[in-house]
Amino acid sequence: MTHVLIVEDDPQIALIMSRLLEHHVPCRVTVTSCPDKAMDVLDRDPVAAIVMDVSLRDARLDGAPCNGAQLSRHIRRHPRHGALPILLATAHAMRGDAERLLAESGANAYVSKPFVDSASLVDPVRRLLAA
Amino acid sequence: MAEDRADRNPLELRPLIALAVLVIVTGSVGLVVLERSADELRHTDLEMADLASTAHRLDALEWRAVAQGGVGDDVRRDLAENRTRAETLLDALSVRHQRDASTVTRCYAAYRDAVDREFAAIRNGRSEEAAELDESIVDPAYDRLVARIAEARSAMEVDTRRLLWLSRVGALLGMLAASTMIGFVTWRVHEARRIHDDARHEQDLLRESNERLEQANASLLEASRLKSEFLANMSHELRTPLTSLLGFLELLQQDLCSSPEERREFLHHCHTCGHNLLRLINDLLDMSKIEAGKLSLATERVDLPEIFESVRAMFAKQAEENGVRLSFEPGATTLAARADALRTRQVLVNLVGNSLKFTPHGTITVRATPRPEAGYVRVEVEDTGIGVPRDRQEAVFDPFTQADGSTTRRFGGTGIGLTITRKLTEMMGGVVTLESEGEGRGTRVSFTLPLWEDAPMAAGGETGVVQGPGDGALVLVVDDDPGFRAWVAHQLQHGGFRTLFAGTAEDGWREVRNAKPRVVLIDHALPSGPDQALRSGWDLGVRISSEAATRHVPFVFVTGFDDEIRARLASSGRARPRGRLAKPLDADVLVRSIREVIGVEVPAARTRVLLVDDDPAVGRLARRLLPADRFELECVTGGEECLHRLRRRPAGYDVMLLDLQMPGTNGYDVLRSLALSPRGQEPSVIVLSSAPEPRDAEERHLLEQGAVCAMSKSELLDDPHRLVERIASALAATGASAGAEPDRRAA
Repeated sequence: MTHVLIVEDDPQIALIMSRLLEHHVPCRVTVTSCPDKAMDVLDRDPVAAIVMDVSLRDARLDGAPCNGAQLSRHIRRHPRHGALPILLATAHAMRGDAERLLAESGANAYVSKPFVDSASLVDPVRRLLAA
Repeated sequence: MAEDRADRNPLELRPLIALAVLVIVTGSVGLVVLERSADELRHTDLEMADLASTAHRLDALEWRAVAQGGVGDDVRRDLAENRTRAETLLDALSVRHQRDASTVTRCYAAYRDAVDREFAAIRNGRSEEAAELDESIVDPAYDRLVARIAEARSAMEVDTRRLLWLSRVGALLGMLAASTMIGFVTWRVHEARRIHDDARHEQDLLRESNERLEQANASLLEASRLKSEFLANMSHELRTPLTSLLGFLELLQQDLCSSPEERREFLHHCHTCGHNLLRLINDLLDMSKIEAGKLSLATERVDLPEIFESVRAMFAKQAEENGVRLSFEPGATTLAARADALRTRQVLVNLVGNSLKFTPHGTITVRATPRPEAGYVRVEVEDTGIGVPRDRQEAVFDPFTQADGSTTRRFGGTGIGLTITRKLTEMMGGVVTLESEGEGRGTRVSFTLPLWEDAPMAAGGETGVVQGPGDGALVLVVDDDPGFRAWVAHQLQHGGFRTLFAGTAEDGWREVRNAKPRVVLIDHALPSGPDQALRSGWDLGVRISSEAATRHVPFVFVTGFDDEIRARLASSGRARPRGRLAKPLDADVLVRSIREVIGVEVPAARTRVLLVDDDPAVGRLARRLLPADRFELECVTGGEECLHRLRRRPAGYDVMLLDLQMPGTNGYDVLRSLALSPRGQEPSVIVLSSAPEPRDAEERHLLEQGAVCAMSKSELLDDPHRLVERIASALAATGASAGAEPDRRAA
């Protein structure tokens, strides 16, 4: 079954997203709020796509502070996982945020929180998986 | 322009300097030439002397030759040598001093010829008698030669002297010219430098003002950046609970719950998210209200143990989940503050919530300590959390900033909680202080509030009954609040008035016509029955102003919302009150205002002075300087105490003498708090020391806006009358005087 990784620090939002994806895509979901753990998951259990939050409270990668955009950039440069499709799902939704964050992170797509409906989260993930 | 002048001047000096150098050089060359000429003359003089002696020696040799009876070879050689020498000398002389040389040469030639002739005569004759040299021939020639030489020498001496004299005068003149020139050049250089310095000073001023502009610009940019950052932050903070709220609703709608329990859980999450959103929105609204100066507060009895209990109940669960011990120490069970209960709770919730957020484990202690002697209570929230770096301890109170930029992301929050806390506390007459030993060492935030003092509740205030001293002027008070009526009854009767009360506008209107009061006090916001013609205090005022029978009756509006009535009066001329009074009311102001309206002779009041200085000696000095029959002096030794006095007696002081430098709450904090208090209640402030200088634009602004004038403490000592003069001029500057105080509130 398709495996999707969700990186999200708010447990409630993580629960909502995983429930929606599991049901509608459908797929198997792993959730983490920690960049180090996210890299572990990629190595251990191959994933088909990543849904990434941007503001990760207190998150660190190899000891350095790291937000979702930086983690995406890190994955893009990774020799084995560099081509993974990444969807940014963030509450940073002021004008210009989408362009800026996509450029910073090298992610494939962007969706703003709150989600208008389940399709606004599910459809982009499906598109990434189909590509 | 000044710059041009400064730059041009050094250029103008260049030809002057060149001229000076030229004068000095030519002068020196001239002097050297003169010296050399004089030297040559002296030298020639010496040669002439030599020549004279040579001639003489020749004479002597020839005589010896004759005496020896013949001219030997050695004599011949000597003779030839002497002659050659004399001729060389004459040649040299003719080169150096031609005029005298030719005469001397001629004489010498004559002398030589004479000698030669005599010689020839001696040689040819060889006779004994001829051996006698004919002195008559040789001697005159010799004498003439010597005389000529002497003449030439004396002429040369005159020349030499003249030359020397010339050279000395020349040297003197040269020196004079050179020193004048040097003086002039120095003066020009000095002048140029002064102009240059002036220009530089002007440039400095310009640069300074530019820098100030740049700074202002930068701070505007910074403020704008902070606002944008705040907006972005706010948007993020609002969207996050909304994401959960909408997401759970989506799950519920699509029935993606695994069990009925989960369904309930999801609903509970929605509820919590809604609450969080509400809190955020309330914070935002409070903030904008405070910034717009539109927040109004109640002044009521606030029971601190009750507030503590409600806050404890609110956070108990969260503290337990976080593993933090939350302890409340309310002190006395009856401890009460004079403040706004809702806002007091909000302040405490903010502080405890903050502590919980920044204390991963450990203890949070909330403690109340009354200070009855100073009239306030201090509430402390102390935690063992992450602390605040010392250099950020002031900044955390600024809107939109947290201990550091990244903290927002780590700990969430809107960045305005502490700003709101500070503003609310200050508006309630308190002070917020934050202490932390530094990062990782906990934080103690404390705020103060005025202590509640039970007002003496006088009996009275019943409606429809005239009370008070028989000869007093009748005051009609139309107010629905029995507590206020009782208080007013007490104050007015004590002040020598009779009182009559009405609870509604309709009743009030009836009493105005029947009882014929000398003055009417009308609560602006009166409740009314549905079918009454007069629905508010405003309507009553309009009626009194418009009816011919009552038009002359003076009335005063009493209101808790002064801005509203001011706006209404500005836009409508239908109600013509004699004045306005703002609640909460000060007893003195009430009585004096009414006396003023009626025209009762106001007894000369003493000027009420509040002195705020941590040095008690200043208080003792002021007591000596201010005569007790004209001044009523109160001294406090700290900023906090000062603010509580002011809160307890709004408009209770005419003048405040304020020291700026005090431990804890300093003079600037007091000015800041005064700036927040309602207009017309604050005393005229005289700042009692010039130090410390304002640290930033805000403090400078406070000083300019908040203080009438400043005087140093040494001035107090220098001139015992200075303080009285300063107080008089400060009162004159603010348009008030001790006797005309009611103008400030009731006019």
